[in-house]
Parts: sequence; structure tokens; C-alpha cells
Amino acid sequence: MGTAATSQQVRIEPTVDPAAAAFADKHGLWPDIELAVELLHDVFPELVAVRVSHVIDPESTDCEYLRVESRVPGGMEDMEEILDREDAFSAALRARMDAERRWFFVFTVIII
Amino acid sequence: MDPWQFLLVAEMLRDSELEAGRRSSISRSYYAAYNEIICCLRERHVTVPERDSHEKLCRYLAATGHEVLRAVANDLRGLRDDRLRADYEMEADPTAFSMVQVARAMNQARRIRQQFVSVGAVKAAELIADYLRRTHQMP
Repeated sequence: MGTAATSQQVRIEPTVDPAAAAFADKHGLWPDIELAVELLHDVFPELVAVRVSHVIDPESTDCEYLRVESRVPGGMEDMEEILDREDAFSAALRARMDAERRWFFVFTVIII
Repeated sequence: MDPWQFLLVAEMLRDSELEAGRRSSISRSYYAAYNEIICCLRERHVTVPERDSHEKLCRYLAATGHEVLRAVANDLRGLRDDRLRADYEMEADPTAFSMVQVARAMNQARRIRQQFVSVGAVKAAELIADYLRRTHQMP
């Protein structure tokens, strides 16, 4: 879906896989995706991509979720700081999204 | 066996030139953290059913309502997702298994353990047992 410029920073629009979009439609998750992307921008202003994909847990009988993968520039020396910021993101998400909604998502960061 | 030995194996594989080695490192990091918690709880007579045990452990930790255990649940679930990708998704972008990502998984496992230890196994087991009794999953 690409990017759209704002006066403050470049907003990264998430790339949502078709299966993830169908899952989001089914469970009404679009506002939650929007909120998560907003919070990701707050915590990772340097973020270059967000991808949302649908995961069916191959080891569980009834577990599927959306994987929200953020790509953040950095190296080995930035890893601890990025983990701290992931914690900050999780705390911000807990404050804004209820537990049952959060269970539909797993967030992960790929350092590039 | 001390489950934390899995992290030593993760360390041995972290700089592997083979993607399969680095994927295995991520997988071992997860199992170090998962088994550390499972063993601590089992020693205190709290068992997680074998079926869907990975998901259930995260659910139980989150259901305690304890702020740190909720964070442990979140981090463990995230690390497990990294492991599922490493173990099952052969077409996944190799960037997800770079040396930095491998180091990230190992650090995530260490953080999970530190957070769990900071609460204490006794306290964590009590809180989970309370939850299981409240929901009639434990006598």
C-alpha cells in the first residue's frame, strides 16, 4: 500500500495480506490494526514497513492470529534499545486495547 | 536436564552460516524460556495440559492479572511466533533469521526469564493456581 507523507513524519501504511484482511473483516479488527500502527509510529518513528499476515498455529487445535511485523533499521548495537521500545509499545497497547482484542495479534520487529 | 542448556545451544548456533542453524537458534531460545517456566511451575504442582500447552501457558500467565506476568505472556507469545516461523515457514524472508534477529531472540529469552524470576516461581504458581481454581480447571 506504500507510504503517505505528513507534515511530521512519513506514515507507513501497513501491507495486509489477503488472508489477514479476511480475518480482520471477520473479527472487526481494522480499528485495532489502525491503533497498533499509530502506536508503532510513536515508538518507532524510523519504521520503514509494516506487514500484517495471517497465521494458523500449526501446533494448536484452534488458534489463529494476525502477525504484525515491523521493519526497523538498526544493528546489533541497537538491539537492546529496540527491545526496550518493543516493551514500551506493548505497554502502550495494553493501555489502549483490551486483553481479548490483543489476543488476536502478535507483534514482532525485524531489525534490518 | 536444566532447560536453560537450550540457550547454550542457541548460543552455539547464533553465528551459523547456515540459515537452518540460525533458525534452530531461535527455536532453542524459545524452548529455553518455555521450559524454564514450565519446570518452575511443575515443581510447585501447577501443570499445563499437554494439548495446546504453549498457547495455554501464555493464557494462564496473562490471566493472573499480574503486570509483569502479563508482560512475560506477551513476550513468550512473541518469541513463540518467531519460533513457528523459524520451524515451519520455509518460504519466509531470510531477514527474519539474520544474526541480529537470532541475538534478539536470545535476549528476549533472557528477559522472559529475568521477568519471571523477578516475580518469583512461588508467587507465579500461586497466581496461576488461583486462576485455575476460579475457572474450575483445577480442584
